[in-house]
Amino acid sequence: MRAFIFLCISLLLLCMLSLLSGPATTWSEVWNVLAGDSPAVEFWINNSSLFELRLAHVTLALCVGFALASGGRAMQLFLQNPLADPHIVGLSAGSTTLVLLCILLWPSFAATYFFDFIPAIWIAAFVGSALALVFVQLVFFGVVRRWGIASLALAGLLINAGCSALMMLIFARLSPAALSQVQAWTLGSIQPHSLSAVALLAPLMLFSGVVLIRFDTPLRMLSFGSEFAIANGVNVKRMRFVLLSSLMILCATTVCASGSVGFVGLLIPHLSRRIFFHDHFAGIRPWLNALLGATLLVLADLCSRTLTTPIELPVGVYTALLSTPFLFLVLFRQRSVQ
Amino acid sequence: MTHHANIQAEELVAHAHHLSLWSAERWILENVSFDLFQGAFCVLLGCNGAGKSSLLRVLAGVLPPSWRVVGRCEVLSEVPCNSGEMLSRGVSWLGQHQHVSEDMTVQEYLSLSGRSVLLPYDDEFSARCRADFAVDSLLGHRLSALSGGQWQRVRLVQALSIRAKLILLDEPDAALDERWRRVLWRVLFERRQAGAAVVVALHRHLEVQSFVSNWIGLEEGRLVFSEDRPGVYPRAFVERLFLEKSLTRPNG
Repeated sequence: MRAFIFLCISLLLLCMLSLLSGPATTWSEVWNVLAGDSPAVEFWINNSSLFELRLAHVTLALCVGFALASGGRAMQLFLQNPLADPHIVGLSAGSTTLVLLCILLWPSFAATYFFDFIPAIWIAAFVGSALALVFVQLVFFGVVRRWGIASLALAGLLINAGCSALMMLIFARLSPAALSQVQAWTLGSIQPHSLSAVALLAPLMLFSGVVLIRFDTPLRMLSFGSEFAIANGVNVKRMRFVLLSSLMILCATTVCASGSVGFVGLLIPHLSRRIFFHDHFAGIRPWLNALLGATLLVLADLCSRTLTTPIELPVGVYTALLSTPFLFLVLFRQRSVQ
Repeated sequence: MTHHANIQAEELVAHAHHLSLWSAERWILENVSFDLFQGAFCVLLGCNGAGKSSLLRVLAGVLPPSWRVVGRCEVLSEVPCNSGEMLSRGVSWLGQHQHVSEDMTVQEYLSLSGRSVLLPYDDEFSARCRADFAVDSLLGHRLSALSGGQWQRVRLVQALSIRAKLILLDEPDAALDERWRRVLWRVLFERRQAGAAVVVALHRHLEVQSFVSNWIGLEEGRLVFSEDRPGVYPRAFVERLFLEKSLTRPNG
């Protein structure tokens, strides 16, 4: 429980720091606000639009990290593969490709809104993700059913390969202006969104993450093979349906919020598994994992906005940069303990 | 018949009638028929690949998705299903191999399966089972650090911690030394006395011959031998199955 509280507090502090800092603010200004300097605080109270923008940004980073980390853990358990991540079944690639295709076909697509606040891009992302899911199911049931769970990864491999080829083709046909707009997004960076849009996206992301966390016990049983899980009372078919549908929501919403951010879903489950390896974490490990993911993504997002101004590098770069040495250190320490 | 003395009514636990199993490539089982009653201790005999494990899987409902069962098979008067309901019906199954991809401690592993058990989970019962196999001293160990025999004991505790009506064990004695094999036979004997039916696929059948009630011999998926007189050891069949074959056809 102490670890849980510690993670929550550090996440909260990071969020506050992240809210205050950004390319438009220098570190001394941040310090002045933190020190309670009244003109600096007043500046913030008067500049609520900047604050709202950042609040939306930080909320998205938090939710994306939460969702991707729990999605990564779920996929690693489900596919019994330590190299799995939420993008492995190709749902993110499907939604990214459909969005790019729409932008290519209708140049005004990125600026189109339904009901004035739902971007058309989101609809395309959900449809793309759903199409990819249909394809995965077709491959699973039609072609390679006898391979069992491994065939899901194979289906994902097919989609990922096909979609990345398609994306390259689309990149070649896009106008330079549109290209520069979408490139950062496809590499994975938190997109600017209004607060009302965030209020729609964030609950969906959190919902899919929480569903995957709630199903952690049957998923851990599945990591010993589907036969073991079936013999111990898990309905594997229903489990696969729940997992893939929440993964579809997860992929579509994270793509809307940030493109496909790499490494979070892959590295955070390993990191949390190593840090919280004690038995007394067994019950809350999936929650700690998700919180760690949220913390890392908020931190990575803070880095990407402040370290290399005015250029904003993709968040995925910093998640890898932050978590790789940390994971290495943890692994190294565990080896010396043994 | 002495073992049946304290069992009042013999209930049909498993029933197979012209049961065949198709694996999308070949017939794994062909026309197998047998009946198992409450309190039975059934040993499946057969060479490697005879279909012993597959027969246990049919009864446990854990077949690969593309395999098809033809003919009639009923376990506790219902057709086995793969939706995870077999456990709540009272069927416990232990497979031959188990792949470990997520490393955890023995404690977590045992609580993992205990938590989802839909049968009334009996803490005292499972604690006694842990004590039988001396698993309590292993609770803090990680699965990856266990020896083959220790892992097998942990798996046995996991499978035997519930009050099952039908216990299906696929080579439960693999990797166990003589001491733990004796413990295993004692525990199984007690379960059977308590009214459970036990089906085991075994190669070391000589150790259990004194309390086996049913012998089922399989050869290339066909039931070639069946003996349900308690206390009768099918010596002729066993010799034909294992000894002569290995002498006459060393590669076969």
